[in-house]
Amino acid sequence: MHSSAVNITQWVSAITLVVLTVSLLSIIATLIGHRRRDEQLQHMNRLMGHCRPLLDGVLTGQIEYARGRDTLRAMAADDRTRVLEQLLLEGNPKPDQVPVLRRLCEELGLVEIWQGQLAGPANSSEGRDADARRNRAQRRARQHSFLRQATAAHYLGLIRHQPSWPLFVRALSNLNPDLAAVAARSLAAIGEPESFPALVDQLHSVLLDPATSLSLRSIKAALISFPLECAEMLLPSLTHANGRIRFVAVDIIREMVERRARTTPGFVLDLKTFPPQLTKIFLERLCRDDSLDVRARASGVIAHMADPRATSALLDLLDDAEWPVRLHAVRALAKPRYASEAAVIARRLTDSRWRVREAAARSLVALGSEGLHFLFRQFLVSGDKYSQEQIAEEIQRAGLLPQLLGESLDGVGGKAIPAAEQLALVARIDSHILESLKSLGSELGDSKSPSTAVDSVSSEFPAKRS
Amino acid sequence: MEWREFIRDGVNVFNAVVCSYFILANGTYTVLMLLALRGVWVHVRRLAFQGLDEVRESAVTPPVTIVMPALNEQSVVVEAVRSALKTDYPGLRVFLVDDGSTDETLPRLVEAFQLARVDLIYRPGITTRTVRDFYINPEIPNLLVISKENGGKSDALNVGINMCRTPYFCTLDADCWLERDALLRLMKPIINSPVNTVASGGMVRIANGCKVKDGQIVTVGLPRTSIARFQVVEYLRTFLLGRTGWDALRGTLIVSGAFTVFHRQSVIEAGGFSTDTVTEDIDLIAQLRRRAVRKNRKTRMVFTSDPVCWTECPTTVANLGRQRRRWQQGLCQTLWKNSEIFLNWRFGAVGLVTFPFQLYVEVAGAAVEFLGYFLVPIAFLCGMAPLSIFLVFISLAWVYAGFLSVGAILLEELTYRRYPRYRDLMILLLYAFIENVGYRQVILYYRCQGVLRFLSGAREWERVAHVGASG
Repeated sequence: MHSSAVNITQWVSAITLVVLTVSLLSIIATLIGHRRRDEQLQHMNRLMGHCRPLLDGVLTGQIEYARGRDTLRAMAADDRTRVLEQLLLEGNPKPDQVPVLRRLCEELGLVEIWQGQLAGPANSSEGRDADARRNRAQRRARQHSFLRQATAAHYLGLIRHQPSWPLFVRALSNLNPDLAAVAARSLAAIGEPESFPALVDQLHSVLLDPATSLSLRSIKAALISFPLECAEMLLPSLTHANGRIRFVAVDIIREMVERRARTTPGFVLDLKTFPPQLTKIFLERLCRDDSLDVRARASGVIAHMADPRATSALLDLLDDAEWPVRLHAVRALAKPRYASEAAVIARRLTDSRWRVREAAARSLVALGSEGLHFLFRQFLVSGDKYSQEQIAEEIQRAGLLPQLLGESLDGVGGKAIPAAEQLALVARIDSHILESLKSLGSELGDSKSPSTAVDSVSSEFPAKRS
Repeated sequence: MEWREFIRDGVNVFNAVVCSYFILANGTYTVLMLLALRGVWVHVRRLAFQGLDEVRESAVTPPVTIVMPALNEQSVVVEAVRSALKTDYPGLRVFLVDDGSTDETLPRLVEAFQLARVDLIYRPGITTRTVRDFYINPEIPNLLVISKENGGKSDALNVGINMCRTPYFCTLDADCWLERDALLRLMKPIINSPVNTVASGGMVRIANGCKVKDGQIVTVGLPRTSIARFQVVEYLRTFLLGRTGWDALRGTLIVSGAFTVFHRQSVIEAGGFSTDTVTEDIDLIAQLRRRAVRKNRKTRMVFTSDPVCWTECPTTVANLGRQRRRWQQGLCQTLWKNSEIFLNWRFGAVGLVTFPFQLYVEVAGAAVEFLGYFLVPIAFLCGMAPLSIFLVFISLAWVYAGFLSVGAILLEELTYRRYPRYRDLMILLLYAFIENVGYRQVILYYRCQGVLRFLSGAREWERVAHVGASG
């Protein structure tokens, strides 16, 4: 017993000593590491302090490009690389600065280094080709990990290095999801149309092969970033037998169209922007597709079409048997150019699905005065409790009470009181506001201007001040 | 004497249990530390090419609603909502659910954000207590304040989920401050994931001692009180080593409800946050796991260490006790309720490693360690074990615990380095060792109380008062 106790004690003591030693070494490593990183940061700060005015001057054109480049070239290679990489890490360069930065990186040899690193030790089959083996820079880069590859891809993407796109396409099929995702993002940044089919192929792999490590969102985000003119290359996907591929392809085109619409006032999809075969497939096939997701998303594209058949296709979708399709159709119609369809949209205020009712109320608000007129009329005359509830919610959310009362006074004449009472009935209004609403009647009879009375009441309600 | 033999055998059995507990606990922690060292190191290098700008601008980035439950949080709630509203995320909505506060929580919100009462439609997909009122300001369209009858944190969160229209929601405590890009970072693993990621947890750090301005942490510092400093070390160890390690093993069972993004539809299908445990976050993770296995669905739960949420930790022993008792009680309740996971291979690492570890080390271990402090000296006093063994074991336990804490601080220093001052680093290293004498035993005492509360069938929440004293 005694000897075993001694043995245990000795063993445990030894382990304790080892752990204590490791702990102390860790503490020393922490403290030394802290000091070293302080020094590195100070060095970096000094470098950036010295180079930033120069770089800013070169990028903004205040300092002659050749002078800035030569000054950077005179620096130690490591410092030069660190400065430029730090500049890229600090955030996306402004679009007008990208060409200068790209030229700087090319002439200072950074692009070559990054390309070598990106082409590096890929575990993709393409990475093992004979050319790559012959290339010294690439051979050296094989020693680096995917972290270095992905970082290099990121830098090349930030400077929009167009000649590197074949490298990105190769990296796209890399087994490492990080590298493949950065490659997809960089291809999107460059926007080289020739690379689009490779991304579409990757999209099909992601959707058809569950083992693919790249996420659908990453590849979709990349495809959406391409110009709308590339949408034509999605034709095979739009006619694919797999419903999910058709759905994602339609959704990608929808996002491309929405993006263009956001940046182009008065945008419509005409023959210049949208090829006839795409228009045809949307209006003749996709809006009648078996998949409800495809039909639903197609409405978002059809709503932007100049084609005269678009409106009737949308109105058909508005009466679709599946509620998600009706929902998307209602949302798609929320554009001022469809103000004339307000009456049809207003029909969806009595839809059996609350999400469609909600979307209809919001779409009518988005249509402007014509939409509001139908919204308020439905509120006043409809006997549908659910519809009224939904409209009351939207009126409150959007701060539309003044318009409701104003519209009732100006347009329907003398309906302000019923409107207020209806609102009081549907929405639970604070008692003092209700009193104000009731007194509105007598005030309207006075010499006081009706609009003043409306203002005094509606000031109690949440309303947009601007 | 027979009774002497009996006691001797009992002590020997207990010693064996203590040894197995010690080896299992520290062995697992060491493995977690090694996994975390690699995981965090790689993750930090990944940040160089994460492309947050692209996430922010991408059309495929899903919108998120921050759901903040609050009960009597008048001192911190306005700043917390301001911080949430400043979060850099496209299509962000913020819902604050006032769980029937009896203090000035609601009036302060109404005043600060110029809110007006409106009557919105409430569709309770998950059954909750009665919702009283909704407050909005059309000028701040992404903020909604909901007032409801008191029903507990889970109930308040469920109300938020019922009102939520976004595919993901983020739970955030009302005493927390989010870093501006925290949500973008937290959503990154979801966006990059090829399978449905139903929960994504982030790092929670201690805000005491930091300077807060306009709902944002502007200067990071250490708290002045020892009790808060111990918690800084503890949080680093728990999140940076523990959570990252479990994530590397794909064995995440615990995420912090203070700051986690959930997939709304999956949560609704799992029945929302349950009101029968006091740690609704752990329970929800278990429910989500069980549902995924039952429905044979491939889902993922992740922890990432770079999205940061700063929280105010208890600064008094009494408040700390309340918090730890609740955590322990909730863990016991959750493990008991979800015992189906225990050693069930269908749950993978969670069933085979995490669950047994939590049960043996975190629940039973509390009792083992607590009893050890009494039985081992008794055994020594009765001459059943030599003093030397007792002393070296105690030394090893303390040195090993210190080693793990130092590992966490080393990892923090090598990666995120949120405490840049040399003095702060020295203090953290000092507290990594001294926490084992005094603080650890106090925490152990409260954990044992938590186990007893579970055994007694207690269900009520123990509230920790927040004072908003992080500045």
